[in-house]
Amino acid sequence: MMIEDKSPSTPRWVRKLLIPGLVGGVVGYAAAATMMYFIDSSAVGGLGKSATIASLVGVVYAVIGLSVGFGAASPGIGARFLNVEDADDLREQKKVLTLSGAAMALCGASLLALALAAPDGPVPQGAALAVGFGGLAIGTWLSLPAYRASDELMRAISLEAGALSYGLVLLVVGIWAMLAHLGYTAAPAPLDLLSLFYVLVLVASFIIIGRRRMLAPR
Amino acid sequence: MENRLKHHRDAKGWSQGELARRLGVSRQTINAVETDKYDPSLPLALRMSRLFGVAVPELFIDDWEPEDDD
Repeated sequence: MMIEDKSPSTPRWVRKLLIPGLVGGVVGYAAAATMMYFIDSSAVGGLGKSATIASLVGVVYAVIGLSVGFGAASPGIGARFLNVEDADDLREQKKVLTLSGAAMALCGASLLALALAAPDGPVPQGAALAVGFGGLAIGTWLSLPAYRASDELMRAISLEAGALSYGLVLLVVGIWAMLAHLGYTAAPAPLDLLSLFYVLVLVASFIIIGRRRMLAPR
Repeated sequence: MENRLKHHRDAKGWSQGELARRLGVSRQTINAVETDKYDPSLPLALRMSRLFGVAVPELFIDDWEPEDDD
């Protein structure tokens, strides 16, 4: 089954760089701006720095997860904004991408619920705990079949990213804890730790994929 | 690690997708191996070698030489 959207009249750099970059930038900016607007609205009435950062990180995860899930569900459109060779890449890996996308979106929702939790936010603490714990638990559970359905390249990348994540967490959280213990800075809030775990996993994944030269437009 | 996977695949007239299907991996993996972004596991290298009927060192080129004991 061959495809699709390789319009010969559209230069490759437009298809593979400009359009995905623009779509990603616009969607990312719109999601972050909407979140900031919501935080400043009367429904929330503003959040502290830790909760604001956590909510933005949660939005990033949710947007990435939903984008991947949408791309897997609609390969013809997904191939236009995701960094894949063509729509067949998405069709071939539909199961893995659907599960991974759902896992990321759920993890994002989990962090978002915790960031918006009472007393500072509008979400009752019991509900925030349910969504926070449920999202993380189900997201983690979904990542297991996604890992099993992956082939050896994706498994290798997952394992390398996991190992690097551990190193980054040890370095960043460790140094922060060290400085806080010695009184040089404030200790990280629990929400800061959660946000850091999320961000460092994402950073590690980008580093590993970048080192394999797989971030370049395909 | 440099490899001659594309050469052997072309000789068979297979697309990356066809080779991926025969080996039970994704097309992305075949592309990553051919472009030196990923060195396959030993089981996958052995499957490739059997599929093309060539020895692994003919598929994957490593210029490492053992040191002389002398």
